[in-house]
Amino acid sequence: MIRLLATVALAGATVHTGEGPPLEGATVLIEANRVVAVGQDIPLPDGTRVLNLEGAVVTPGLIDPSSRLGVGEVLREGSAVEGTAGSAHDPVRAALRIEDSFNPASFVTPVARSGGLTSAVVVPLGGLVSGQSIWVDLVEQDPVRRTSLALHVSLRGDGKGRGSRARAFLRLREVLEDARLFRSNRGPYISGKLRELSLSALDLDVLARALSQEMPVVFEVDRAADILTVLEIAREHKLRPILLGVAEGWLVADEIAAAHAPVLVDPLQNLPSSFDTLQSREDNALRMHRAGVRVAFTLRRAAHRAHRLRFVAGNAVASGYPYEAALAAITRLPAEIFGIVDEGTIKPGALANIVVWNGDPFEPLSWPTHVFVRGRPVDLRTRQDLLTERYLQPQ
Amino acid sequence: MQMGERRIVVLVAGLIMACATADSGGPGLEGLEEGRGDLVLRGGSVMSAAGPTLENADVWIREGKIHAVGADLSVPAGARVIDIEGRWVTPGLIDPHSHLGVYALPRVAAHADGNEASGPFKAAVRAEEAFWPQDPAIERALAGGVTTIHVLPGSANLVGGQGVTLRLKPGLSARSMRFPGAPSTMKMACGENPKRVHGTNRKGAPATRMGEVAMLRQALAHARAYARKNEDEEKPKDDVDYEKAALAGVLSGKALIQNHCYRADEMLVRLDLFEEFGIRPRAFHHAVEAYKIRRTLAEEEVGAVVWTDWWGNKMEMLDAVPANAALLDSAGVRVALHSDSPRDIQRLNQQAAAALAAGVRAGLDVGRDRAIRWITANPAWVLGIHDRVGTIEPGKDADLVVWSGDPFSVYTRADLNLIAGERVYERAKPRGRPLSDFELGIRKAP
Repeated sequence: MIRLLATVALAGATVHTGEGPPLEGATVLIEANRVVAVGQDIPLPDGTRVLNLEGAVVTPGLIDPSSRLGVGEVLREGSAVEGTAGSAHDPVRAALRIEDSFNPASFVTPVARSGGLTSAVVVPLGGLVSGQSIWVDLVEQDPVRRTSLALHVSLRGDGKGRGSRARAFLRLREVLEDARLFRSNRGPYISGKLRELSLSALDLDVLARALSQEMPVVFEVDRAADILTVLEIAREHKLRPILLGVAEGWLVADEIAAAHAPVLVDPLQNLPSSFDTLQSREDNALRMHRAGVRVAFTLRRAAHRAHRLRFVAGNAVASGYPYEAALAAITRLPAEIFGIVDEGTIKPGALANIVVWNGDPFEPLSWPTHVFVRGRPVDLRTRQDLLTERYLQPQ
Repeated sequence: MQMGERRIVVLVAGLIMACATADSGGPGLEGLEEGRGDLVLRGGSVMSAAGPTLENADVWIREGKIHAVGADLSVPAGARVIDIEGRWVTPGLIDPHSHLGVYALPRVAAHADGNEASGPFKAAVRAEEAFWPQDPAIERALAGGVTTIHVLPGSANLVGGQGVTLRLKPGLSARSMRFPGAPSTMKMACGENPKRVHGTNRKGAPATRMGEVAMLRQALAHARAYARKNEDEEKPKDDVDYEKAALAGVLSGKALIQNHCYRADEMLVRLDLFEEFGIRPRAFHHAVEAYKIRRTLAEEEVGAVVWTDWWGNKMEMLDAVPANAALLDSAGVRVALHSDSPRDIQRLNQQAAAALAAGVRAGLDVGRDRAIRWITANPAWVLGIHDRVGTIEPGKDADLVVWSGDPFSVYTRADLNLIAGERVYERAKPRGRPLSDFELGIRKAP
């Protein structure tokens, strides 16, 4: 068989695999789109292209587990952004699929990639039940790796709308009850013998899959009391909850850990920005981590500033977060939490989403020199670089 | 004098913070016991923003001013000496564009005091008169090593109103925090915001960019006529037109124009318009395309106040480049970084590092000793307080930050902020950390 892609060896760098301590002077061997070997003494097959990376740092590609990449070019322009309109009259649209909005050719994505991102969970916004997310690798060719990745529920902002949170929770329970009834009575439902349900057949079908634990449910929730309510609803309906936001999570960290609910957190959220986040703290993520919660970091809805994810992790380290855990929180853990088994780590069999850095990836004075997505090097020049080059010429 | 009131606030806050403080802080700084007399920061890396970084140097503070800087200074017996070996000192950071206190947290309708959007010209309004000193964002900014902020009205209007330069030394009013002697400033805006707010949203004027320029031209002409009619400033008036009088201050050069403007072409139009009246803006803020006209800005001595990496929110933000600051600096423009955000004001030093790195990546290494000026000396110039603060030089006010390490590292934290030689924040000592009245009894202890 003819090899379509050469075998590439990233040689001599400090390699953070996403698990355990870094390997010094190690080599990562990439064949086609996969990692085939990693370690200090790797035999190289004939014809291997060797990239000498002495002094460089190699990490798995970074992953933002709650992103808006590919669904908005210019946020203020209605025609250039995938809106969340309709929240008020259509607060439940479980069947909405964000891949229908996703643009693989977005000009925002290269900027994120130049900051070391190689994958993202792209999420729908708005309403109470916002729809289903996707896992994408940040390439233009077939970027979507998984659809119906998770169902997204929001208990903040327009999820609550102008009503009370009690009403939002009531509606959520009603929706789940309808879906439960639907799930065990599909026949009667189709023949019109079931009582009237409050949702469309498409929505019911998706909710039924969440009830069967086919997909996890991401609950966006901040206030400590709301977190407990969400955990109770998840337990009642045997859902697989993932918590997003969780600004006050440190107050109920033990309960979150006991429920085995992973969290997606912005560790820099330390401002009491709303009445749902009055207990925001810089060490929120750290306290949950110490309580045994699986914590991944997110910039929460970022697109144009998605490249900042690594700084968020670095600042978490400055506040006491263990270094390797912080790196895992933007590589291995987001992949694990969403069940993408071959991303987020550098090990044999893993998809070769890899970043080469010219220093500590958390430091603002370092940057990626090479980014590989699915084994292929990505052109790191952004439109911003082209503008800079154009105007570097004497004026 | 508000000293008595302030002391009570700090003491009460101290008691609360003793059990409520977030992180345990870094290693303490010995020798900063309460007291007067000379203070010496001994043996640190001094990044003065006025030249090369001095290793293992001392900063000697006397009566609130920097008295001397150098290696092995012989200081008088009885001076308080703080060993800062391994630490770094920089001038206190200055954020030339902030809405702390006028868009205070929590972000609720009741706290939206930054835009008097009831008309496109509001020169008479003053940010100082809306500023809420209990904004809980203030103490987080302090922890980021910020000692001075310029609080501005928002950008809804063509003329948004008067800004105020404050020292981050928490008090009970903006007045008590005012930077002594700082010139007055006038916020103006061009581009998408004024025409959206007044045109698109309210079906009024201006509705276009050309409308914006025409209306401002007319307002400046009216202000000029008003100023001529009222040349004798001493004469008491019973029919003061505060709107025109404030704009006349811009024409006389008394108030520094701080002009929100993104696009290169719009900045050039603005310069032409101001030229008609014989004036120029002190600085363009949010100037994401300033790099395209950097030589003009340098020649005209107009400052550029920019972000490191914000882009894409609006069409006029599309051509932002992270090397903007480095390009501007290399061309001789006074460039400052701003936060415009209660989140990013906490890490201006990291923004400077990222902007420096973007320059290096583009082949322009301006060096750290220039980049530190983007958050110290240059914003001081933009605000007209550069004779007082912004560098570590004898005679300047002792507004300083002692950092746990290299200020351009993500792992470094501000250990100590001094304003006029007085401690306003100390990471290791909860007592040195204020807490807003708002969070008192709300913020829970771990």
